Amino acid sequence: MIPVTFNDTLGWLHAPRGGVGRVAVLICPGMMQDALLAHCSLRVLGERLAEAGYWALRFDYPGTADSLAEGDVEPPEGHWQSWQKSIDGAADWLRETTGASDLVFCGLRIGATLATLVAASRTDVAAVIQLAPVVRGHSYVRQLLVQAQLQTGQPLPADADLVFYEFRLSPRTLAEMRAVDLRKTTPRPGLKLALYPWANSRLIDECTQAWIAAGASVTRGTWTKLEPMLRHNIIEENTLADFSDVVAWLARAVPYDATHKAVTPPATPLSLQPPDCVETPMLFGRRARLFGVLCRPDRGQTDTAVIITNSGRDPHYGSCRQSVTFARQLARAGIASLRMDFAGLGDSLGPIGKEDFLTPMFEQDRLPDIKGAIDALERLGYRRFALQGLCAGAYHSLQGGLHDARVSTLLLVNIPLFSLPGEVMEYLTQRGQSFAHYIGRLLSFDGWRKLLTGRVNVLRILRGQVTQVRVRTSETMHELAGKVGVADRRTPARRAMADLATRGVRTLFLFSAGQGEIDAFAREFGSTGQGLAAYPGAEMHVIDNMDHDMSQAPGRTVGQALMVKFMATPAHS
Amino acid sequence: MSAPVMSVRTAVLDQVKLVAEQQRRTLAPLSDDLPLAGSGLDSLCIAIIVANLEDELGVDPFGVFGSVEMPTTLGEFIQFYENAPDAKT
Repeated sequence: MIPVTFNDTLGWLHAPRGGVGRVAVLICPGMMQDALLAHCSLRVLGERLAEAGYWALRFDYPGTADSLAEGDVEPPEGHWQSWQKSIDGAADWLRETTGASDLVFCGLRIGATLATLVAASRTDVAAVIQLAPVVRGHSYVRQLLVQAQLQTGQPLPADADLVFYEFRLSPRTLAEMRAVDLRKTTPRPGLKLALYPWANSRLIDECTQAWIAAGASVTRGTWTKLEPMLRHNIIEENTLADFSDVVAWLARAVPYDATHKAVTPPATPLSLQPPDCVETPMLFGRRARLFGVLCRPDRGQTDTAVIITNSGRDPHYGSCRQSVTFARQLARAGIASLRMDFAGLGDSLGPIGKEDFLTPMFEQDRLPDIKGAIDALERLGYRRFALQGLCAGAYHSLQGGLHDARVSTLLLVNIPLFSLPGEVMEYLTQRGQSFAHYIGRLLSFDGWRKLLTGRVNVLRILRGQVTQVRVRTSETMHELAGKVGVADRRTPARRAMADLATRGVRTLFLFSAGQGEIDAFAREFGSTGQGLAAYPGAEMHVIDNMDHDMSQAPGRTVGQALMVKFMATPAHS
Repeated sequence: MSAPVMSVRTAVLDQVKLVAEQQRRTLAPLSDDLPLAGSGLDSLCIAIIVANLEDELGVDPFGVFGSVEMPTTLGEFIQFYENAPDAKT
């Protein structure tokens, strides 16, 4: 898989194995949460298609992921038209670059809807693969409006812009999206359609009937093997979607043509130029299996680079593209950055033999990945390094700062723990809930009823509680042992801060308001961070309107501005 | 004309269970007084349920009533759809 840039966007070209490739597949991702959840699975789809002899291209729509455009600025033609135009442009680029004669569009959710609309206007699309397509734009817009309302707690005024995830969607764009109904789209006669609905429904039946009546050949598949693609992110290692049925259907419907001579893709300029920045995709680490985007100021020299790590298991661009906007703000302040994917997340390959797995959020050693990033940046001339992370990314960044003496600054947002307890998931789920609370719940009538009917997973709750007790006991024992002089009395968190301060590492902690966010930090350093006074260079802020994953613009703006300011402030000012 | 009450209730409960399963969410026991916020569903799940119900029932009660105020319990949520005109099931 080769990173490419074209039409002001970043993409990935998956070249067919074995020197063939008459057919090229354009993969059209979903948007917002659908894009974040499915990113790794669509990478696997690209690889499976290439193994089966097809070219495949993944790309970012304008205003999404690593693309040049801003999602919160409506282009003159409106977002809806701009996204369709970008599919058309990517399809043209794919044909010209690979020499493929036939195209197949494969789209997910609203990407499937867009792909179907664009396919209807072209004569070179032999087939469309629809993964959980949005059939009615009206209900999809309703979904976005309801989710936005529930997240902000504010009713949305009618006929106002919808500001959600990375987008500002104007009433015009919303109206165009609402008007779409795939049942009324007329596919070209002879077009082959493979439909993998999220669930069977009246609408899907009506769609199938309408397309068959229009002369298309329609095959219905099941969602079962594709289910991990839109599965809500959880913490443990997970498998990714299994595309064997999709690829098998394609091999029957549009064979790749084994006799065709492959065309070597020409080298494309590998950079994008957002205002005041230059962005370059980078492969690095052992066997170049890790991926990131280097963003640097377009003028002047800097020897400082911030490594922006994955938030949870979101891809390197982050929820609401927060890593992209942060990187570009840093560049405008004269600081370079590398927004990277840890192994097995986003576009970085997992450990050998586990390429098709999403690696665990916490229980995976990320130190080799961080070292690989710093080594790569050092080879490019950077000498001062900062690590930035949110939630699990903050935990891994802290570990990176402790283990690599080249790190001089840490930017840690909503760090949930300082050292790993045995049962991370249970610990995080149960934190803030006392053991007595659960015992009390178990002894209540309702609790027993749930217990007897198996609706309470006692083992899991107890494991989490035991882990919490173990963590707190360990902290207490550290204190006691220190008091009697038989051991270092400091907890791992305080030892970490002391080590960092001794090395002169500056650390910025940012927290959303709320007990759950600051719990682990407050136990160590107080809820206002008063305990940090003992560690020169460390400071903390609680940001009232910032949510846990910085998905809402007002809090994110404040948080990112504080991080940029911290980076731009000299160490001893 | 309003839809038969039981069929709308069944459609709503079916969607709640379907989306919870798709999103790997553990549902609290379903009852009319169950707060949606404590049901085990997050904002994405509820938004998907609303979209699916619009497609399945053919109604958009949010649009019909000119208000986007969210019901707070499961019972209110079901009633919201039962009271919407022109449900198709």
